[in-house]
Amino acid sequence: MFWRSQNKLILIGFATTLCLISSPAFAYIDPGMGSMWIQSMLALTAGFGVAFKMYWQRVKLFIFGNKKKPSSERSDKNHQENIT
Amino acid sequence: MNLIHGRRHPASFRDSTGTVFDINGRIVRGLSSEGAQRYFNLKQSGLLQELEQADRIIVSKDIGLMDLSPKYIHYLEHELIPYISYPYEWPFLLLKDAALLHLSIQIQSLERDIVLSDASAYNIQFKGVSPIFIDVLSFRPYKEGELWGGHRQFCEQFLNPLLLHAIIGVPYQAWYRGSLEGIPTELLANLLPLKSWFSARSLAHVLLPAWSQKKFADKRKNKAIQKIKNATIPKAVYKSFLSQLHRWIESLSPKKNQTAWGNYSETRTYQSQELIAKKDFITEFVSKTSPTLLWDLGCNDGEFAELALQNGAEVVVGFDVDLGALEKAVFRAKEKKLNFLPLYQQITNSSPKQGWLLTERSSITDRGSPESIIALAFIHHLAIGHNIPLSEVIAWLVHLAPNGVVEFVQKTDPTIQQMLALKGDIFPDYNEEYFLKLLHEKTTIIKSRTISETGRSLYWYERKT
Repeated sequence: MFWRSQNKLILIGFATTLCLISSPAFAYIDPGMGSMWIQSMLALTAGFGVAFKMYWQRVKLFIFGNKKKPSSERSDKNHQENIT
Repeated sequence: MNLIHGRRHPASFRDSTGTVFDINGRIVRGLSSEGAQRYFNLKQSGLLQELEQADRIIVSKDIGLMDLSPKYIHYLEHELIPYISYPYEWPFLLLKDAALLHLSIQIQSLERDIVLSDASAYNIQFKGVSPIFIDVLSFRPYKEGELWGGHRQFCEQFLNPLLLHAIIGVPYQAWYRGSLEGIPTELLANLLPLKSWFSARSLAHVLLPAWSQKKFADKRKNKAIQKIKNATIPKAVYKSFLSQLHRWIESLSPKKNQTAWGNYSETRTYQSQELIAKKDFITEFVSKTSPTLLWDLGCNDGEFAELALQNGAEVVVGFDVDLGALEKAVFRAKEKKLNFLPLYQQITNSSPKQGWLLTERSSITDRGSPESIIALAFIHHLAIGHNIPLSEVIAWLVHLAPNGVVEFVQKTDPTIQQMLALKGDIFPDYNEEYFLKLLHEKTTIIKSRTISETGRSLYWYERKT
């Protein structure tokens, strides 16, 4: 699914999305306002997605607590299993 | 009167950083200082070599300076493409492969901070059925935060035609030929079914861009327009945009529609003995003539094109009007790695000279003359199916190439009987005697053979000089 693929966009995030720098020239083709608009909207959505995901993680953490053991503990255990 | 300045190629005028020249069949590209900078950047990045090695881009040779235009400081010579073709002639699978090539080159380039400056489908050609990118000047450095400027052009020239056939079931070729820049997004949006409003992909690439295009046409929205012009997107979003479009196009196929000739090999009306005789005849013809370029008129699923290639033809270009048969021909060429290019062409209204100055896009005959042709079970479609006078059909056929094989199908043959059933027999001139008289006037018949009980006959001829 299209929106699912957006989870790959955990990059950079919302803050940098709409920073105003000078727009690059598009050589000799007309990029079309519709196309530019949808791209900026998608960047925005991706940014919101990232922000929401981070926030949701925190909410989950608050409600359910951290059920997983910290990674350092897990790696210690694995290490012990390996040597026994 | 020749209105084209200098010796530039008629289709090369959009890019100010370079021009392609046709010097007696040699394809040479002149580069301005900006063009040369772009080209050497591309070379230095290693991307050009990578793409050349993978056969994804045309091979370029540096030839330094030439006396063609004072604007240019460096020249390249390109390898020649066996036969130039245009997107409005490509069957669905070829346009789809061309689209995928464009996107994957974009993705590959972006990793090296390079982007394509446009998304023209005319920048792709075919060697056999393998797409190849032909514009080395389209590559320019990526600017941090920039939007994909070629998105609209990509949609109009690749995505929209594919969607027209895949979603609505309407083949794009005729529309595309009349609208050389592709299928406008605003028009496709009017045609998409209601359920497309629930598809994120259709929304993102067709419906919302079309809606917002209209919205921003209003000049009172100047502030909003300025904001969008200044918007930036992270590189990762740019890349993801390309990748998801790639995945979508990969999943597209023509909306199922049984065509008359799509199952020709399985349902043809003649028997296997005839087929063997026909194959023997073509094998002998091609082995003796060894044409560099052979045209297969009414190529169907490419069975005889394959045979011709196996027996000495170097390149075969096939023309047919049946899209189902052409898809099979593309499959055959792909599977067997044949140097065979099947193209959509209605011979009674074949691709004309068109575009700017009526020279930008050439007609089918201006793009290279075949050395041989085969026209198997073909001419009755022109003479009876389209009422073209038989004398004109033969004159045209003989004019195309110095030699060829033409099949004559008798009026009593079930195929023609079916054609005449509703139309009525208004073709008194369509008979073998008259056909032979016409052929004798213009050619020397090297060999002939009757291959069926219904009187189907093959004629191998050589044009009189």
